[in-house]
Amino acid sequence: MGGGCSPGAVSLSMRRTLLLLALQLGLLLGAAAGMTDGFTGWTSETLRRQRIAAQPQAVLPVHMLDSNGQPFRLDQAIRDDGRWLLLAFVYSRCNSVCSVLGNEFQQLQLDIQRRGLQQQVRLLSISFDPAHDTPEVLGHYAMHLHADPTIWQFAVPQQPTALAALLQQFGIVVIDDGLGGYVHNSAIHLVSPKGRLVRIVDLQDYARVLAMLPLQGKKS
Amino acid sequence: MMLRAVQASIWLLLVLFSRGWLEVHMARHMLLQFPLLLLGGVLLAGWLPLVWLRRISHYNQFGLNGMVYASLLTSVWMIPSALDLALAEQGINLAKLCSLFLAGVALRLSWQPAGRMLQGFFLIGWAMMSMTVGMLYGESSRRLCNAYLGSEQVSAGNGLIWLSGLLVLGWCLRVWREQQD
Repeated sequence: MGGGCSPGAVSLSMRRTLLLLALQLGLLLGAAAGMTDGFTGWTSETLRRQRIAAQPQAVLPVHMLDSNGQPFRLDQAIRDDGRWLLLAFVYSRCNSVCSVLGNEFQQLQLDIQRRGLQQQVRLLSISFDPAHDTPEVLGHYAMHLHADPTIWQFAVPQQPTALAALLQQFGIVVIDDGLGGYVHNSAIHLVSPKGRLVRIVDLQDYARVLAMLPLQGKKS
Repeated sequence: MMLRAVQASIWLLLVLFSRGWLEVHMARHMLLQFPLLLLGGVLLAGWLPLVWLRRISHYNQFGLNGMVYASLLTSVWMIPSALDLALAEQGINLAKLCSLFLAGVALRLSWQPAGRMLQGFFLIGWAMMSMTVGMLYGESSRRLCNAYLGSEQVSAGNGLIWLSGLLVLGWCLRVWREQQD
């Protein structure tokens, strides 16, 4: 359909078309840029990690229970402890590929012990399955993984609302794997002694995590 | 006019209520919900008054803007972080629903004015892009969307490849048949 019979009308329509083209390209590309942090993050996981690296966040005051059933507040406990914290989300029922995170932390625990870094860094595994992972269950899980309680602790949020807040802040999405288990975007979260989430590291890079921390007197 | 309004409302309610079912699997989300939304737009566009269509055509010569919008927008919603965002935030999901519906309207209004040449150009270009996205989804060793399983990612990717291929094939057959011997 032309804009009219005269060439003038048609060229006016063409110009209007081009103007709208420029406008919609700007809007669409702007929207796409907005959702990808300027075309730098095509997946949510990349965006999550980039954002924390750019702007660390103070960990929320979430009420948790440790594997002895003792209540504590996450942010307070981190500050009171004073060590760097490597934090990961887990669930104890996992017995397939995902239990790999248990393995990574086992390796890290060994590394920490070998290098004598127990006074400077610790590990925390937080369960996102409070229905099944009571403190007692977590205690058994910890023993099963040979966790040294002075280095590697386990905890679970007290209330579902606390869990939701925690998962939201950390950007963890948990989905049903259709086989009775869960799948989630697992990673190692680096939390400073002041309680700030400063970096998120891929599971595969667990061997390099300790080198990323400003620790003193590392033995090789 | 009343009947059309009723039909449109029923269709709209169906899509909104089935959102939970449609969005729970990646393939259903991208390859069923998206086309349904586009279809809704296509249907609505058929009922728009001629006066509106004429005015719109002044800004849509050769269907250019409609074709660009439809291809670009569907690509945007194939970005993994965009999909995750739509599932996480209601506002974004609403924007997704509306923009895809609008893409259907745009397609319907632009297809004829575009003519076979532009149709082919945009369709084949879009299909090449979609097949690339489909292959990335299928080949990726990581889960690209936090909200979907790795297995879903593979089926969605393969489905996308098939869909784009079939659309191009269908268009080619149509044009073939139109040709005089």
